[in-house]
Amino acid sequence: MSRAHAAIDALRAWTPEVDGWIIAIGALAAVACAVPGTLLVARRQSMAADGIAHAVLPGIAGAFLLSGTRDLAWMAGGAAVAAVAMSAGSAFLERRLRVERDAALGIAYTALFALGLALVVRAADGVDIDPSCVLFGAIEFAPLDRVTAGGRAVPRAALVIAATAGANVAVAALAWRPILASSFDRGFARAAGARPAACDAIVGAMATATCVACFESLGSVIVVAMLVVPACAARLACARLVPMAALAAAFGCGATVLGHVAACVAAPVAGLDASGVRELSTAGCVAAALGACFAGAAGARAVMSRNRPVDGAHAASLPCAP
Amino acid sequence: MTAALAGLLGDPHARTVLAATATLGASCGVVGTLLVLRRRALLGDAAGHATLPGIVGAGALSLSLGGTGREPWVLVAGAALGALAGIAAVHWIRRATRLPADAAMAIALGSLFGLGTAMLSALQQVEGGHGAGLESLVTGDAATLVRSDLHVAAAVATASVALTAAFRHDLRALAFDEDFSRSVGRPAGRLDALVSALAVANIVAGMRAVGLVLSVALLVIPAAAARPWCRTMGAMTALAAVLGAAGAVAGTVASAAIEDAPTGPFVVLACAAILAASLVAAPRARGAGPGATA
Repeated sequence: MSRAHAAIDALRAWTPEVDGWIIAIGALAAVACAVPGTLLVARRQSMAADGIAHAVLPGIAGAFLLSGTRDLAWMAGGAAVAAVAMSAGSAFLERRLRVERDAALGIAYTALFALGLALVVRAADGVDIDPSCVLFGAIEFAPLDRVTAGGRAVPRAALVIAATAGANVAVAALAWRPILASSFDRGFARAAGARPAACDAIVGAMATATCVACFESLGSVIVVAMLVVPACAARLACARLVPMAALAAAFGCGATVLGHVAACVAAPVAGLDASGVRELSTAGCVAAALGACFAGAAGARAVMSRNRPVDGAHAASLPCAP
Repeated sequence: MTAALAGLLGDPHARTVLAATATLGASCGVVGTLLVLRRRALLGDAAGHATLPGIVGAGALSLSLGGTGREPWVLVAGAALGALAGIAAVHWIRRATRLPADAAMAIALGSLFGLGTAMLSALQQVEGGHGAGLESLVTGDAATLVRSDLHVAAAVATASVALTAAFRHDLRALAFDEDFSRSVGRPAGRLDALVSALAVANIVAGMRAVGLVLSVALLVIPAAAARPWCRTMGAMTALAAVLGAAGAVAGTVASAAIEDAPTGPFVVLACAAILAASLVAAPRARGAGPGATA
């Protein structure tokens, strides 16, 4: 019982000013990620999320080295350049080397990520950028960095991520019909006058902006989980894009709460507080919670619907209706 | 760089480091060719990221049993288990949900790396745990390589070359014409498992040198750089091994010249430079190169 009490005490120690904001930032990130995540999954470009999340790093680090500030305009500009370089580079490699899209993407983004890590090491003598923070995220410190908005001191990350979420929803709503058509039937979209390549660029731009906004809090690898896992979980339950995005946002919010609770109670429950462990990394726990919730959903779906494909080779042909 | 290289070769420790990274680079080139031609390039990325929870779990287990938490064999075993778990998760997600392969890989990669991050944050707080020692595995530090790492690298390279050579006909048929390979009764599932196992062995052997986040690059980039020059799988394998070794050595030397630099990023940048040079110099459209029709 004492472990349960310790866990409850850990949750009682929550304060709205710290833990409240951590959960709010995570939930906002879930909403911001839901829109590009759903679109990427529907367009069968899930690994592009991985690519973009890794490739923005040299842009951000390069902008930091050039400008010496963490000014958002510089970072977003650098990230945009890097994301364009990644997609242009992987398209070029795919054509020139005649390799599959995945391999071309893997080359382009690992090379850019390596460049980013090398730049971060150069910049590490300065302040604010640190390799482990880039990889693992530091949402715990996000509530400390405040700016004044509307007479209140609000964490900078919350403002930035909320603005990104709003922009994502607005852009998706404005370009909805071409995006919808090109997500499912590029030939039809082209015939109907939409431009699938332009839609790819719009979705890529949304994903890039989201990665820039979220990477400080979540870390570059865990942004991938937030983009892809909720959208895939939602895909298991519905086929229409709007409910899928809404469900993905809800799934991400739920995993954020679960992840932060787990980060706070895991040490007392496992009896690790005796060896000096206090809180686990919230970003890591959120990603693990996303994976656990997805595994639960996928397992439940597999049990409920017995119509498994006979041959693994055909499993990729999941029909995805608008 | 020549002076730095000459200085390095005079030092026995540096010779061990360079021999180990060159062996690993060559071995990764061989296995990377299989992955690229079999269109499984990014499976290596999922496996590489999934090693983190395995490594941290093994370290924690060793610590709780009174060990130092950093015994190389324990960490290697944990990393291999983690990578296999990652590959198993990708297969399970695809079977259970019929989601596309890239979605399954992104899910496994993100979730398992997140789990590893959470576990690492706990281990780093344990008094006397020295979790920081594990952190260098993420981006790699070739300077920590010792003689036993060279032996591991040599063993993995030998196994990779021997198994690839032994099964070359089956692997080639599987890579270029899966339907034919199945129709003549070759065990596609077991051959894929062999390729995955070789990829895992190379990722695990290379994690101390190049780190686990970028391990996929050392597998894929040399194979891609070899691609435009070769018409046969054997030639591509050999050239990829040479380019992989060259990239690994160049990157290690470059990172040694800069203070506190992790090795992984510099090895990957060296490989990327080789790829760029290969693309500039290579003849265009050589007809039916490996995989041209696939």
